[in-house]
Amino acid sequence: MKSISQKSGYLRGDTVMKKASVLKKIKGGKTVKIDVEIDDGKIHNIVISGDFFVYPQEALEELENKLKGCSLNKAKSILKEYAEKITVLGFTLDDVAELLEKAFKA
Amino acid sequence: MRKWRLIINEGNVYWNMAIDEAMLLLKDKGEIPNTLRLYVFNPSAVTIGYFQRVNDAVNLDFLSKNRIPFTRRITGGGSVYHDVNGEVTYSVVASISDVATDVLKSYEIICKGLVYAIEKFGLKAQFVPINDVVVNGKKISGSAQSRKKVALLQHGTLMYNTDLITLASTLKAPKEKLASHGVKSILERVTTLSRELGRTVSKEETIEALIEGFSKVLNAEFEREELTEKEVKLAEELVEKYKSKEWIFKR
Repeated sequence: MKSISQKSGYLRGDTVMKKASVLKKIKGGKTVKIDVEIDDGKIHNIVISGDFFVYPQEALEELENKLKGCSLNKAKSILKEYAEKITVLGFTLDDVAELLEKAFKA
Repeated sequence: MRKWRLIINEGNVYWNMAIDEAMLLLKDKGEIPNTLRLYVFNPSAVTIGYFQRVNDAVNLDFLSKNRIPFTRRITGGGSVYHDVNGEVTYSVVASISDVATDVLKSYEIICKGLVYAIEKFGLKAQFVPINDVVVNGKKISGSAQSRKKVALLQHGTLMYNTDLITLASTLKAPKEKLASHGVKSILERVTTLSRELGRTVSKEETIEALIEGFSKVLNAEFEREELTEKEVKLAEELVEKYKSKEWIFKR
């Protein structure tokens, strides 16, 4: 399994908003990618994308919205909570946690 | 054997996706019978998975230069090139309880219909979970499923003579993806019935094989019918969504 990341930053007010794009190729063929903006240690915006499946489908957007405003630790616990209640095929929410960690460290 | 409706038609990419969604919504309300729809995209078009970012999934420059229309599906999965002269798309719209409650199991049951269809041509095909069918290690079919409360829509492809060069130019596969498939290019990991058989397979042969394959796995007796007025009317409303930038560039 490989992952790549790109990062960039820009000034927003007096703080630096960090933007990262991290992707992971999952064994079996699917890809999951997160595009995340991190502001002052918290997720400002996040998009989780790829050629996978989520049931129910609306849950992914709902999850993205819940992650906004969260620290890395808080985000990880939300991902754990969602792993119990939604079906994801082609990747796991642990993969998303791993990508988030990379993005925060980037 | 259970009675299923069979629809065979064609349309542009927006209309095709609108019909599939309309059928799913009406099946969920119990207003239409279990249905197998077989169709082609005319003109050739591209669809991308619900969760994909447009820029990661397709080569936008190539699409606009060649005027190839594209839209986002309501189903997950990856991007697909639908060749008017080389690919038949199927849609299975049914009560979840008539296929399988378990999502993975239902993918397998329906994809086995594709396997049987391909085997009618004397080729050996294999279902590769979650949603692929391969021949000689190369992908020949991909499927994607969406569910409502009590109904499911699974649609997917069977490439009988797709122009693989155009397919390779329209779709973007991240380098990581190709690496995991252990091959260098799309051309090396996808194939068609014609390519595998060394002769030109027709659309009609492909449709006939699909009907037989799905009949077997769904235990279905198909009766050829037309879309209902309700389906057409709902699809006419939905088609605007599939044409809209908001929907296509949602991600």
